[in-house]
Amino acid sequence: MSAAVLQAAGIHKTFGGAVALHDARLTLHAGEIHAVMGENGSGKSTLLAILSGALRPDSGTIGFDGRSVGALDPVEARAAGIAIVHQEPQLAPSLTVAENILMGRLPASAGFLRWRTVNARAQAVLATLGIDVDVRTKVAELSIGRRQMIEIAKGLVDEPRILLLDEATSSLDEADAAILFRLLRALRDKGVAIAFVSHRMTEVMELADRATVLRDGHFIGTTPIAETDERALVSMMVGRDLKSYWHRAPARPGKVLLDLQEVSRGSLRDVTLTVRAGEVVGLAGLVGSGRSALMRTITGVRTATSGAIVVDGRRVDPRSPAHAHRAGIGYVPEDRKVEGLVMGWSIRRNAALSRMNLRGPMAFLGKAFDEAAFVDGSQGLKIKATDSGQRVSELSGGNQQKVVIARELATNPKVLLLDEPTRGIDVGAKEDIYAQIAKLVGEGMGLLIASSELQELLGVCHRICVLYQGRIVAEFDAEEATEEAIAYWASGAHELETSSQGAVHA
Amino acid sequence: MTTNEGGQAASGSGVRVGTVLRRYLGVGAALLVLIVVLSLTQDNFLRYSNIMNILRTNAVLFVVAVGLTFVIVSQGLDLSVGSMVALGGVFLASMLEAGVPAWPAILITVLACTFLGALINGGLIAYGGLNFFVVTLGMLQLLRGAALVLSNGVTKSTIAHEPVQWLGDGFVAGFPMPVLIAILVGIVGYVVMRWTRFGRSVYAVGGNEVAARLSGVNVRAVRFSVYAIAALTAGIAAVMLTGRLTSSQPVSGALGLELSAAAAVLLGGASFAGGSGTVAGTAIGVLFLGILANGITLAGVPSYWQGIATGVVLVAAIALDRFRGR
Repeated sequence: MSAAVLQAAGIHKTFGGAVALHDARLTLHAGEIHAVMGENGSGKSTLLAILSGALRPDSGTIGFDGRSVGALDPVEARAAGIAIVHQEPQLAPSLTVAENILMGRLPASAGFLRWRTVNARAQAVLATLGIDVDVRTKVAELSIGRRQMIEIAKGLVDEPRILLLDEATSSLDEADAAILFRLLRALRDKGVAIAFVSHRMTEVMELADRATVLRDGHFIGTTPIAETDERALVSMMVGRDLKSYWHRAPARPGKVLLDLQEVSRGSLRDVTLTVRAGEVVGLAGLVGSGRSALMRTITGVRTATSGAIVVDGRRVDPRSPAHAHRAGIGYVPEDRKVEGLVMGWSIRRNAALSRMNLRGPMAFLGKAFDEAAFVDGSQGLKIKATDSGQRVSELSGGNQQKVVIARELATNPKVLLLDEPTRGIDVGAKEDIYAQIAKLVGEGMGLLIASSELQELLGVCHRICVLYQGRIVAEFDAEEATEEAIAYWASGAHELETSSQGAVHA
Repeated sequence: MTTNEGGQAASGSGVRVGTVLRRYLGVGAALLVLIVVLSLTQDNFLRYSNIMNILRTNAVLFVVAVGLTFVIVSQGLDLSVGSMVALGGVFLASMLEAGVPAWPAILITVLACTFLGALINGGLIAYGGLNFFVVTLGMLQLLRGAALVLSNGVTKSTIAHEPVQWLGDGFVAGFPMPVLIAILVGIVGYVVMRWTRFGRSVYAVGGNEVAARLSGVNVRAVRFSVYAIAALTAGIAAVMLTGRLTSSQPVSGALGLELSAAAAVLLGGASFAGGSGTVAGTAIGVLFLGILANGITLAGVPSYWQGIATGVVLVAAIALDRFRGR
């Protein structure tokens, strides 16, 4: 391994009174992929922001090119060949892909844009990424996953020597992630130093050469991936041993609580699926395979055009989310900030948001109603907050997710639908949510979980259904399922050959 | 790990007092300063007659602003309320002229305004999915035009109709009737917004429409209702204004009322981003604008300055709020 191209040492940073980083360290070598790990709030993003020049540290040194400075500004960082890709795509939706990729450096002559050059350069960057998108497309027309790829392309325009990725893969599906990984490996082989933050352990194990772990802003250690394993990394992150990361409750399937009979709407075609009491059913599938569309149909956000949705023996065919709630279906959507929470509200107000719709429009709601909803819904969730009157915007991602779950549990559902329940949250919160799932199943609830993390589905579910282009193409017992088999069906590989894996369904 | 499931009452109420203070402190403090300054410099300011005069002249504005508070909190805007007040007044006067008894005419006016606002504003915005700005801007023109067509631009006296005069300019046990109506509308609006599921839904739709819809709020019904409420309060205001002016005034009657009302709502802590604002804040906003205008008159400054003062105060208040929020 070659010499260090970037060396940060003794980095301190406080926000107001809160210490974000305390003696943080990170050393990047040319030609390595370096995972920066830690729970939410451990300071990973802050560290990357400091290295990219977006934030100034209170003290510490950043060494590169044989120089040592106390802080960088964004211009210096760019000059030093440092590029950063953010978790949330920071794109202008009404502009084209090419304009976004080259934003701030659009080639022009005499004040007029040279469109041909713009488009050609952008197309060239996308070609290295292996993305097949017309650069004249407006960003607004792209999926979240595609937008994230565009964000990454933006980071590559200047051919950086040091590439920082702040949870850049959290909204990518497996196929896009695979493209990105291939690209990162190619960049590494060309000598680029890459640091990336990720909550996906599989990603880290697969991709990284070394990992640095932070906890509560402190540097815990740097270790070569080859000399460690998942369990050791997790215990470095949380500061204790985790007995079991996954909590699969023993399967004790009871009566059928949710019964979908040939449900169709839009791209969904004849989906037949059951969820029993005391059972966790997983929904696997690529982005666009219909996982979220199916959940939204079950919860009445969109009404099914044909087929029947039966809840606990009664045909319901939900017409609206309120109708679904009354029938006993709870739904935790994919994106907690955009679809889940009213960010300006307190925890308990958010906790009461679903339950209140079970009341009449002129029903009297006060603090007691909210508090009761919060207490009922949050049992066992271990929400970390000063009190239930705190604003949800002040909470960490994991705790925000728990508030959305509490909100749904406050309606006392028979079936709970969770769409990406642990996306972008830290290990500790994930563990709490898995424990909650196990508890609910033990109490006889039925759960349907959609996730793009196959390990999560394998670890939590009793049965896994694979969606491909709006159809359920395979169903597995969790005991028999493997990542390879699920990926085989989810990717549509079965359409190319006739060999069968798993129990074919439909 | 600090797990908390019950909530700590002590720190909770501390936080709340803080937020309440922050919510009202800006314009509330400015209002207090204004009152103190005017009390010290203008001998007539604190007189009972002057105070009642302020309240009476601003009752109509407040009633309209209460309805507009619902709309703005839901992340909308109704530019047509001023024109609705003008049209309501013309409609009322026409009915009275045609011999309809006063009380039924008043009731029909209020209902007709509500119906019209609900049907066109509410219907097109909530169920037609049209942009609120476009729809209510169109309605601002359309209703104003309808008022002119219906009246031929002629002012009609309603002085002979006792109930209309009583509602707009009368007294109950020495207390001005329009002020009583305004207080009543304010209390009902406050309670509905603060304590009912419907009120909560309005905040939810304004705060995060998608989250509200997915958690079971009937977003369309809420949007429809807020425009109906704005039209309802405009209808009530139409009756009050007609009574106070002793005539319907199709041209100048309620000119710019929608903008004054929006200014009052924003001064009271609401934001066009939606999800924030209260009826209590709106009351402070209306009082502030009313007392400012009164002070300008008392100080002998030409009333033309009133618009400048209002504009400066509005922008300053919102800029202050913005910088404090950072």
